[in-house]
Amino acid sequence: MKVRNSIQLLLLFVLVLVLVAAPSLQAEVTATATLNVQTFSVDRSAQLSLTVQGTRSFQPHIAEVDGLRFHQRGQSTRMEYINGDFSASVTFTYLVQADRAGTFTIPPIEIVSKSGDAETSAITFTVTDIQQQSQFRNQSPGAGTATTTRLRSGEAQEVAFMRIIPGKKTSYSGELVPLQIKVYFRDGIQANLNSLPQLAGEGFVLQQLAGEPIRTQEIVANSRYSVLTWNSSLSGIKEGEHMISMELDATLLLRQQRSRRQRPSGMFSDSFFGDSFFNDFFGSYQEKEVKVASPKIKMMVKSLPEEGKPDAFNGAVGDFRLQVQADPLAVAKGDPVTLTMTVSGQGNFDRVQAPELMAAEGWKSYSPSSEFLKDGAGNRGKKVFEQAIVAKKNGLTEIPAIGFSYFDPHSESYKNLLSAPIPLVVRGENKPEVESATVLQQEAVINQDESVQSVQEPDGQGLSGLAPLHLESGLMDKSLQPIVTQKWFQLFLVVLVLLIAVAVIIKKRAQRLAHSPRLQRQQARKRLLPVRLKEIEERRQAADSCGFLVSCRLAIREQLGLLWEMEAAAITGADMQQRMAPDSILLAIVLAAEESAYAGQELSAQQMQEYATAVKGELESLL
Amino acid sequence: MKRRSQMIKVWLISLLFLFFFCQLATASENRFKQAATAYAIGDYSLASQIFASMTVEGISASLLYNLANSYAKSGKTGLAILNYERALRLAPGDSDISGNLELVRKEKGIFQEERTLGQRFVVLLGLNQWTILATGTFMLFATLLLLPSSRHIKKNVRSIGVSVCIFLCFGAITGMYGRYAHFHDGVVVVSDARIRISPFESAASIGTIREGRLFTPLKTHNDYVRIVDETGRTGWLAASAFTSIASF
Repeated sequence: MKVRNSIQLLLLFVLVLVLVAAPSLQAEVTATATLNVQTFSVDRSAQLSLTVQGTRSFQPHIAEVDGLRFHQRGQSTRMEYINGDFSASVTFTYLVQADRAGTFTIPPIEIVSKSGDAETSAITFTVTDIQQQSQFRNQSPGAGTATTTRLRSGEAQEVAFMRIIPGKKTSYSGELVPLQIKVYFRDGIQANLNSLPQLAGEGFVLQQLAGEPIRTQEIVANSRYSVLTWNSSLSGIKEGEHMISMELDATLLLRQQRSRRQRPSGMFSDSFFGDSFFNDFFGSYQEKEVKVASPKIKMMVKSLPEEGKPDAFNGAVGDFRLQVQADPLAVAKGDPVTLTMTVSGQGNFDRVQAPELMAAEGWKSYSPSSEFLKDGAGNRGKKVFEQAIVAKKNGLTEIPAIGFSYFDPHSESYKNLLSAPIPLVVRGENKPEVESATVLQQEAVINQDESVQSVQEPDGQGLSGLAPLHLESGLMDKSLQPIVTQKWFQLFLVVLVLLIAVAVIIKKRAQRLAHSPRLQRQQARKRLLPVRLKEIEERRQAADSCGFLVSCRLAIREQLGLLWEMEAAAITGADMQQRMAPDSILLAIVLAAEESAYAGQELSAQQMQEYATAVKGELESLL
Repeated sequence: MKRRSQMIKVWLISLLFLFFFCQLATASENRFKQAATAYAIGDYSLASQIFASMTVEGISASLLYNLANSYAKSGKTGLAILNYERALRLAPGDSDISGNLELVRKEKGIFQEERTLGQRFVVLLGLNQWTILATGTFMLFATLLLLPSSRHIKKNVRSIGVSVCIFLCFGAITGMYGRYAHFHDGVVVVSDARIRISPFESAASIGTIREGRLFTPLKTHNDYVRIVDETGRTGWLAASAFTSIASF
């Protein structure tokens, strides 16, 4: 039992070794199903989109629903790259048609693939009769979940258009201006975005857009639109007046009419989207690549005033706060103190540089590291700087004030934030130790003459105390590759595991044999039988009748003794008569041998041949 | 007569090969000494150039250590830390290398987060040492299990041996895993490198990462690598701003 446990443990150990070396790379399969509308009339159809991620070879199984018909309309594959992550998805498009009004539920759609199984959530929707739907369409603006938007000039004939709404139209250079970008697609149009909105025009740069826009619905001139909204910011980089607009590339999936009547006007005319049942249901689709552009708007960028600009100003524009923390506050000369300086608020954080020591004498400063943490929407956030400073002399009692300058566009003036000096104990001074402390910002106008000393970065020449060079190059190697990644070592491991497996099997068999008398006897019979048969054959060939019968009797008694768990010498003809059939050839041979021993009976060559064949056959059949 | 001339030819060819390899070794030694001399007289730039050229033929802990010292003296903090880290891969227990690395980091203000107990355990040995320990204890474990029962080995002695082997092997595998997870770490070798939120030059920056800082690469996209630095920040760093420690 213990041996079995040990072997199981060994196998487990090998398994863990393999698992550690080979991490799993299985991808998860997910499936989502969406219906483009929650309510539609019986004379219209809805569009069901089934999107599956994580696998590309599968077949969806949609259960039959009484009163509903599903018609596959297409299949598309989409590759996305969002913030460094690639993902691929396959989308099946179906038209859903109802035979009657009522509430329906599409049960979960099952996806079975080699990569895994998944299923969607159930979708419940309502199908109305024709009159109800018409009423719904003519509802007053603002009803339901959709909001109403005033239609602007030139938008009436469009199935897709864009609007941009800046927070203000006049800003300072570097100031971030909130910008809302809204793209409208008429309801029922399937659109694939081929790009994010791009800024057209000079003088401004657009902050990076969030990958996923906000999706809403709005009613514009009694037409329902799906609206995608991005919230971003513009930053003016060139003074003066600029005309800017936004553009976006999209592919629209448009239904084609079956009739060949003249289309009233361009491909985006309303007639394309008539309510005809046949056009909805049997009409084919056509892809149109379009560029959706917003109207141009005039924006003004003002230059930052030169008057009152602090020397330490680095281009930060907005509304900021400063918080400074130092740790530890009791150090020996030469030990570093870590300053944690947090600039928080709203503004162009990409231009926010590290606050500086107002009096750097006696201090050695190192380059700071920084980290920006966004705080919700808009341009709010905080930038945390960590900087090591080292006291170069004894007698320092405080970390000097730390200053940060920025331009406030609301008050249209420069602001200077100044932290209070932080008490410090440099070892050797007889002052009580203080724990780390936080010094909140203090806002004050600093004297422009108090220039901040530049940060001194020591160069390599100042490095003292380095251990000397090694005088021998030592044993040379070709690469830094670890042995665990080298082929010979991996082969060695495989051979090792195989050898151990073979050794385990051999040991297990040996232990089974050692603990089983039956197996031992079987082994002894297998070992002895050929020896005795050889002796019999030799005697037969020598025509030694007496010796032949003795050898036959010995062979039979040995085999039966091992089989019956008896001493071979103790088996007599009488025992065999009790245990064996009366016509057994083995019994006859033993009796003949006993008779020969007492009466000196001789066998002919033919008899010996028959006996030898019989003994061999019978004894081999006993094994 | 003919046989004798053949023997002489073989000897001559052998001598030529021996002479050739001796010349190579001598040339290498001379360059090593030349670089050390340049370092001694303060020409750290020349020293680093010669040591760097020698790494093309092969590397050793001492060569990388000397190269790192030359870079440190030249003020090239990133390259110095990179080569100290490489030298430590070959000689994890070398106190000169670890001491100088610590000194350069301290002098340049590149302070590392205090290591957790687990991290301190992992850095006790190098990856190769952990691998050898894991393999050795695994072999010993298997041997103890497979040894035939004997009166000379008591059962409890065998059990203790097996338990110790399991403990050591799992510890070594943990060490291997911890070491290998950081085997392809990179070192920032330029000043004012920026971590960006997307793999594009125009993408917004989430902060700077100092020269000499270590980080773990996650994945690559064009000329950018997604990284997580020692403070846990994640973002994209330009491939030109760093060198992988294992890139030899």
